Amino acid sequence: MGFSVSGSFAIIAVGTFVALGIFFGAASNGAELVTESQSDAYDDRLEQQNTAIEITNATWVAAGILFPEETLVIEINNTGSTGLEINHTHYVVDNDLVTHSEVRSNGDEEVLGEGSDTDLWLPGETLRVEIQDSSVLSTSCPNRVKVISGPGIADSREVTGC
Amino acid sequence: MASVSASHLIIFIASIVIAAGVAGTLTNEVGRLSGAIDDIGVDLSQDIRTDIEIISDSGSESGGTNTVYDPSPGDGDGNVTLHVKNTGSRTLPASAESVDVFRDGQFVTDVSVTVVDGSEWRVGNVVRLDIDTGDLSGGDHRIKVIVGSDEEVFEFRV
Repeated sequence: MGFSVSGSFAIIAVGTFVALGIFFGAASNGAELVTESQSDAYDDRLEQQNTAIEITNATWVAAGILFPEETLVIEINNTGSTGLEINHTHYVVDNDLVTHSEVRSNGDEEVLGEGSDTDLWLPGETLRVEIQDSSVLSTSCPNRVKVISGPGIADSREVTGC
Repeated sequence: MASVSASHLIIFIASIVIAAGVAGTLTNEVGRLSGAIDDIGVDLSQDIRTDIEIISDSGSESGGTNTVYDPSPGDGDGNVTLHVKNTGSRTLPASAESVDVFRDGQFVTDVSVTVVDGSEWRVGNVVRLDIDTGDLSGGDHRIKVIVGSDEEVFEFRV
């Protein structure tokens, strides 16, 4: 009788330890995943807090000496305290989205003083964008332009020169 | 006392069998619970990493109507076009099944999702939502876009 009680207790104890080991592993994995994603989300929010841009110029320039065809010229200043990526910047002209690759194919995009080869748009620098009309913009002489940075912080301005 | 030894043996075997059954059941059920906790952890992690921003310009108007709304795209029904940027930290599924859209509180079923600048809706990429809203009356309207656990609202005027 005594040994059967001891034997049963031993089997149940071993089973309990095995179950606890399985549970601990799953709980630990889950907590690590959640902690890691919370840390990434916190970093994203911090980057957004540190990001600010300001459109200093949005002008429609008629075809002539400066440009062979009608061109929308936008100048945006990085007034925040974090560097931005030009590749992740989007432009919305009268609610028509113009992607970074479309700008590169149909105009120019450069950081003033640094040229067109860099993808970095550092604090204090001005990004100058020229968008040719013909194949990218669906309307001639647009009313408004909105620039959205990589983290999602945006600025908008009315276009002058029309 | 052979009869006593036999009964002791029977009780011993029975108690061992019952103990093994209890231990096995406990381990199985905890294993299932652990699997569920794993799945919850993955889902929660994905929800935390999901963040979108509607980048369409609510201030852009033409003739007093916001340019996101097209009253006559050709099929007789009004259409709202929104651009949504992935500002989170994971690639999002770019399909109509993964995006829920409400127009003025009404669930919209006819929504198409197209990645504008790439093949996947990666971090930093933008999708275009073509939302069949029907004809919208003049005045204020709002569109709510839900992806995962993140909700964004876009208000505009027709």
